Amino acid sequence: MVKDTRKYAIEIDGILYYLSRNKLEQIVELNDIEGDKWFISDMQEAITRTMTIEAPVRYAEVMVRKKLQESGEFAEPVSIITHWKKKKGRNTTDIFFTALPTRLFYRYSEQIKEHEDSVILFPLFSSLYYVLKHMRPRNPGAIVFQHSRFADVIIGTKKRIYYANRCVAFDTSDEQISTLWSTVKAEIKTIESENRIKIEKVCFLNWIDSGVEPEWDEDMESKFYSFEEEAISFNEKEYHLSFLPALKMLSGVKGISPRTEKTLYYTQKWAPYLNALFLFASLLLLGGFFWYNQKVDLLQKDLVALEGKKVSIQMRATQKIPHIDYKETFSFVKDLASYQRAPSYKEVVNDISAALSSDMKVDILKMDYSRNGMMIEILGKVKAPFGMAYKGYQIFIKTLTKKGYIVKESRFNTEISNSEFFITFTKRI
Amino acid sequence: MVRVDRFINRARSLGLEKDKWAYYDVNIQEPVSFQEAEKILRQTTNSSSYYFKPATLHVTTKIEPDKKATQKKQSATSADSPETKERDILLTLRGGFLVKQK
Repeated sequence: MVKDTRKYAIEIDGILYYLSRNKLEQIVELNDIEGDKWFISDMQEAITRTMTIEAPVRYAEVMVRKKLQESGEFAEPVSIITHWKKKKGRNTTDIFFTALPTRLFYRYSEQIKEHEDSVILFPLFSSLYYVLKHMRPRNPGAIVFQHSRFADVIIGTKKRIYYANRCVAFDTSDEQISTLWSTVKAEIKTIESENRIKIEKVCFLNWIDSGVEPEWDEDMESKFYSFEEEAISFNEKEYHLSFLPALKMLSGVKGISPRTEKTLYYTQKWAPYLNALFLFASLLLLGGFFWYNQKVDLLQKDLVALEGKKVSIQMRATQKIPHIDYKETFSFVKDLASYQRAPSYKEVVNDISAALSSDMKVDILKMDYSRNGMMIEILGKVKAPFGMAYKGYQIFIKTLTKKGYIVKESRFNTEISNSEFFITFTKRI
Repeated sequence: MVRVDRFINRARSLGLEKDKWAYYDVNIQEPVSFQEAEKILRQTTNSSSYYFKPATLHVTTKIEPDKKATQKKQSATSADSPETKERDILLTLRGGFLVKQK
């Protein structure tokens, strides 16, 4: 179990106590406690109530203040500390508050402000409210804190507060304390009746000057029990108190100290953790810095190498490409290759002679050469009947075509016994 | 560039440069016998020492009478070739020999 190392100042019935760990001691003033602390006070002269106000939620406090002054409960300016409020109807608000004279409120504020360390202030009923919230009762429950001749009572659920008040006895005699409990029981019954509710549990909180736990009448339907107790030493005497564990239900954020005070308190509280976090973040950043530096170095080296390459490429690009006069030589070699490939006059004449039939006679033969090809024109006669002549003409064309000659134009005219032909061939070289 | 350079060097080493070759133009236009024509054509081919560049060859068996007469007259006055009196074809041959100079 983690020990509560928080320091508490508790002001009850006009006496100031200092609680640290399991030791309670009486002190004179707040400054007797060194360091940051939580200050729980019943704020003498303060009253705590619930009210139903005919006003919107926003103006509930104003109306409460007005009502309290009109009723004569406060003959001086009054400050309202709201613990809880909720819109009830269209123009109605339920409110649970602690009211105290403004001068007293300012005194507490000044006391906190002037204090060297951070102080988070809580009205006493705040702690009772947080015990109720902690219990999270579905059905209404009651918290009773009995100290000296007083009993502070709060009745409600986790969502609504029905009643809050301080019951008072004339003195701390057993008889009066018994009367005090009778009053508490009567109040509980009245609230049950007025609100048509049934209070299931009544939780009892005690203090060093609380009387013995009361006998709970059988006619009371609610179950009475003590909140968990904690052993405390006070004036070298051991007490089992349940009010002190109840303080642990409080949340510092809900204190009524100024926001700066709360901020300072939490800053100091978390400072070691924040320092560790910052240290870790710094180490992380430092590591990151070195890692990135290394990366940057590598990139710079790459950059330098690339720059060198770039300069080298640029220099090569700016150098004039040497002019090589190759065209004439190339053309000449091409010409020689063309002469080499070209069929000679004799070859062509032999091809034509071999393709001619015996009846065919060439009158004109023309061969014209270019670099890539040649063209041949043949004009001739066939002295034979048409059938033979045409057959010879066809064989002639076919034979030359097989040898790579391409027919570009061909004409065949006949006079039955004589025929004439004209053919143009081309051939690629 | 490297390939072009290599080609030029190779061509030079083999002497394949135009100014190292001589060109001899051939331009024949005359009536000839078949034997003469065959003899001429046999020479217009490539060999190991030269190239023949063919350009035009026109052969016609229709020789105009005046040309034939002129040829006959020339043939008659020629003492060297009494056999070449007969002309079969009119041969027109153009081309040239390309010879590498030593």
